[in-house]
Amino acid sequence: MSSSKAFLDTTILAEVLLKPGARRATAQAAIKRFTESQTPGYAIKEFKWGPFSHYCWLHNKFVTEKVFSNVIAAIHSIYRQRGLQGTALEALGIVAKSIGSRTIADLEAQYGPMAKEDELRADVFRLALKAIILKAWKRRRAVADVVEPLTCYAEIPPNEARGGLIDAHPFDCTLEDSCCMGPRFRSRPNEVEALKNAMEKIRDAKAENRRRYQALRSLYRTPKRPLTREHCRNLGDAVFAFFAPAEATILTTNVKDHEPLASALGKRVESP
Amino acid sequence: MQAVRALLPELLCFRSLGDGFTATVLAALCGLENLRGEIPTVKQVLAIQECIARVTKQPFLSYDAALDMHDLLESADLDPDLHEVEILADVVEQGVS
Repeated sequence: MSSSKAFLDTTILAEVLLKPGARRATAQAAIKRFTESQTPGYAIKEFKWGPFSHYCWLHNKFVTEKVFSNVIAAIHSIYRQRGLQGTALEALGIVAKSIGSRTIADLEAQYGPMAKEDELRADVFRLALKAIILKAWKRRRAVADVVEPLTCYAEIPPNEARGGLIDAHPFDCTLEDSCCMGPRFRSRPNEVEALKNAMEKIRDAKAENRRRYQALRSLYRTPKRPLTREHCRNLGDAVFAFFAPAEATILTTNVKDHEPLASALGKRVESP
Repeated sequence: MQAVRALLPELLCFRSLGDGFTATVLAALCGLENLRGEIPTVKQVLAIQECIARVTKQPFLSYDAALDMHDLLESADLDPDLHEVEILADVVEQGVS
């Protein structure tokens, strides 16, 4: 195998750390295609406030609702509130046929409430989520070499609060008032301009693009102004295009969003 | 091993013993189910056996000890995670993002 380097984005961290089964295996196999793999400190921050926090939310829903059907109802309610059509909701039907359910139904007569299917299933999911969450946090730095550390961000572990809830806060930087990436971005204004120009063309496609464009424009036009927490969050995929070494391939499940930014700086993007 | 697989769900009815106990039983059960019909290797059988021995000797084991059992199962190439979690989490992510 010739020397090659993968630069992992947050989606790959999430695939490896949070997705059991085939998706984890696919992501791990993709990483193994490269002789070296790196991920920026920003990916850990984005991982925590993004997919990791969603897993914590789901875990906590099982803690508070205690009954599987109530959790499903809560998820349906999110979709209703946001006016989303849920082909994804159909997937919940698959989940309803969870582990050992037929056997468990038979046990209800023998063991009473502890074998009640709806509550047992909620407990099974709660504990499965808890294991995935705690293992993911423990292994977050084991997926790839973490480069470009964020000196303004403390990786504070999730805390099991009273009643079994998992509290993943804080999500933002707590060590410094302004983002430590600001000076690094401003030291390469030509690259910031190229990223800004790339985003300008697609800024109307979705709200996320517009926010990213505004953050890049602010970095470019007001170089003396500190990079705010909001802009740090909004930079998102631009961070990976900017910090990926020239010889590296950005590995992501979201090629569509990364491609315009990476190609603006002459960098490659691949999906697992 | 078939008998173990059939009996493990019954142990979930004793989950009032604690999260450590239940998480270990669940990990062993998922480890077997995720083999999807493949015959377990000797190393895998021994890892499952170790999980059952642990909850038998120390039913009130801590959650951290249960995570050690996860590590043990993974070191035997067993997957102790419940795959259905992924489907549910994907639905949530699509709903909130």
